[in-house]
Amino acid sequence: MRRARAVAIAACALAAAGCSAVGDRRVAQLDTAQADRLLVPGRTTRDDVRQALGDGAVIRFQSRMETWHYVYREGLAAGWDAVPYLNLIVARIDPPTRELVLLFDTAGVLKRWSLQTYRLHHAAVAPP
Amino acid sequence: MPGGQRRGTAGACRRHAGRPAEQQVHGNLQRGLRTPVSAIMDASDELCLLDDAEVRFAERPIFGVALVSGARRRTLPYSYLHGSTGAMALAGLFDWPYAPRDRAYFLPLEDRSWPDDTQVVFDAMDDPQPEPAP
Repeated sequence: MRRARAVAIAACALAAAGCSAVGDRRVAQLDTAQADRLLVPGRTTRDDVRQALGDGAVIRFQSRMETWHYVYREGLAAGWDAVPYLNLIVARIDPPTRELVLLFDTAGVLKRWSLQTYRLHHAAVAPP
Repeated sequence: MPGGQRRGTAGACRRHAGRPAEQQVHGNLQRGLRTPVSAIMDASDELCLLDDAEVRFAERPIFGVALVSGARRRTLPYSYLHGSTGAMALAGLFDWPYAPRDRAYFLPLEDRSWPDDTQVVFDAMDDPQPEPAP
C-alpha cells in the first residue's frame, strides 16, 4: 500500500513536471528574423526590451555593462531538474532550451545579442 | 574568424586541470574556506573534469565562448559564462574576484567527445554584432 502511494505521488510529480515549462513563452516564439527587427544594437533600449519580452535575469559587471538572460524550456517546471533522481529523468528527456542573451552598455542601450536553441546534453539544434 | 576572437585548446585546459590543486585557479580562488568535505573532493581524481570545477578567465570581457573541432561547433550556453548559475552562489564566501566576472567562463571538460585539440573561441563583448544570415 505504501509502495503504491509512493508510485502515485511520483506519477503525479512527473505529470506536473511534464505539463509545465521554464521561462517566458515570448522567448520561445521569438525567431531570428523577429529578433533582428526587435533587437537593434545602438538603438534598442532596456525599456524597449522590457516592454517586448519582460525582465530577464540580470548580471551587472563592474564596467557597469550588464547582461539580460532569458531561457525557455518545455516539459519541465522550475526546480525539478534540481531534485535528485527526478533530474536523471529530466536529463534523459533533455528537451530543447531556447536562450536569449542581451548585452547592454553603460547607457542602457543594446550592444550585442545572441539567440540559440540547444539541448543541455547534446549539441545545439538548428534555429527555427 | 573575426579579429577580436582569441583561441585556446581544450587539451591545454585538460592538461591544466591535471596539475596539483594548489597550482590551479580553482584552488587559488576557493582557498578562503576549506572544509573536510573539500579535502575529500580534492581526493577525487576526476574532480577537475567537472564542468563547474574550475572557473577560467579570458583576456578580455567575453560575450560568448564556442568549441570548434573541424566542422563541429558548439556555442556554450550562457550558464557557462559570467558565473551566471547557482554554482557561484556561494562565491562571495571565497576569494572570488568580482572585477573580472565579465571574463569568467567554464568549459565542459567532462564531455570527452571533444578532442584535446578542440579550439576554444572567444566572442568578445567589443566585437560587433554578427550580420544576420541572408
